[in-house]
Amino acid sequence: MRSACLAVALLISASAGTASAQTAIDGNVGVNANVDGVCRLGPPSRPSVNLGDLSTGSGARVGRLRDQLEITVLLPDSYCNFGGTQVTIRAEALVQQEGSAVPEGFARAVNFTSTVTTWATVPPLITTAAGADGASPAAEGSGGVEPEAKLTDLTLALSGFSVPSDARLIPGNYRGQITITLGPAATETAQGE
Amino acid sequence: MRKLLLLGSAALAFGGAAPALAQATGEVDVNGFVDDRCQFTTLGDSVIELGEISGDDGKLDEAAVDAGTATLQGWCNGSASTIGVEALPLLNAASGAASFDNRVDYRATATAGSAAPIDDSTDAGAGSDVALGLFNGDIVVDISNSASPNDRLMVAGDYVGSIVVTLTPNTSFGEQPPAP
Repeated sequence: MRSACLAVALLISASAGTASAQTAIDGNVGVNANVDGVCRLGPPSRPSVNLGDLSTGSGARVGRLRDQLEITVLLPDSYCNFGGTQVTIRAEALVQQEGSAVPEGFARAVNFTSTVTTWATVPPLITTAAGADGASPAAEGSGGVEPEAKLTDLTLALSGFSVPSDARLIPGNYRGQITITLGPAATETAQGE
Repeated sequence: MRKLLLLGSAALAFGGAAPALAQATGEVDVNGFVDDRCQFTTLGDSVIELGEISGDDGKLDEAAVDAGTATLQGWCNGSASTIGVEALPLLNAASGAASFDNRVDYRATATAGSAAPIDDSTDAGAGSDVALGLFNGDIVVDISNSASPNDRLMVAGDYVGSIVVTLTPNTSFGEQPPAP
């Protein structure tokens, strides 16, 4: 009787061992990676824009700013691989840098409006406001926030060229500059929103 | 002389009783078996930290992903054991934006001795099991053939995937006692 009990006990023990032994077992290898956030501007189609002679050569407006057509510069394949980004423009009016005093009725600055389109719904729209003497040529502002990663061809457009008080322009070389920044949105509310 | 006779008689009586007792032999059979088992040892889990996986062009840096490797340790004691592997893609939680990819597929290989099962993360489920047999040692997990679905720019953020290596004991000997 004792041996019978022992046999049963052994049988139970052996069966339990069999059930656990025939199980497949997994080893897990986690794979982690990251992609850094980055924004890139495509190379501008026109690294520099030469407007030629800014003044009218004859007629009633001789010596004053001649009409300028809208100028566009393409920045193809510009992108940010994360959301919450915006375009910022810093524009400096065209200023004649030679430094002599500006006589009454003359100016040494040409202001303009610049914008960059096809990023966020609201594009930045910046107009310089340099004085006739060329003081305070810079203006800066940002467009709306693009909520998602985006790849697009950006277009910079320059228009609305004007001279303070429509004065006659002092002769010489005029130079301005536009800096476009594509990056994370600033915390403060963007212009135009 | 009388004493000797008595002693001889007694000896005779004992000797006469012995043949009447049957000789008994008891046998105890001792049986046992060793189940087929597979186990991962202390290195049953690991993590491959790939770090930055995009290149200067903003697209997937395949070499950075293909450099991923890890080593597990395990054993199987049965000649019928098998090894299999399943590759799960690297995914980014951000919603997919047009012109961007947020997934990385790859091939995982788990090399254990001469056995080297593979699985592509583009295919659902694990790859085919490969015979492993008796084994005890390192199981080297490698990544290769990585690619993003459309070879587009990669969305920024964290990417998480995994590789599951499965050791299956199977049955390398006769039938075992049935379960109660």
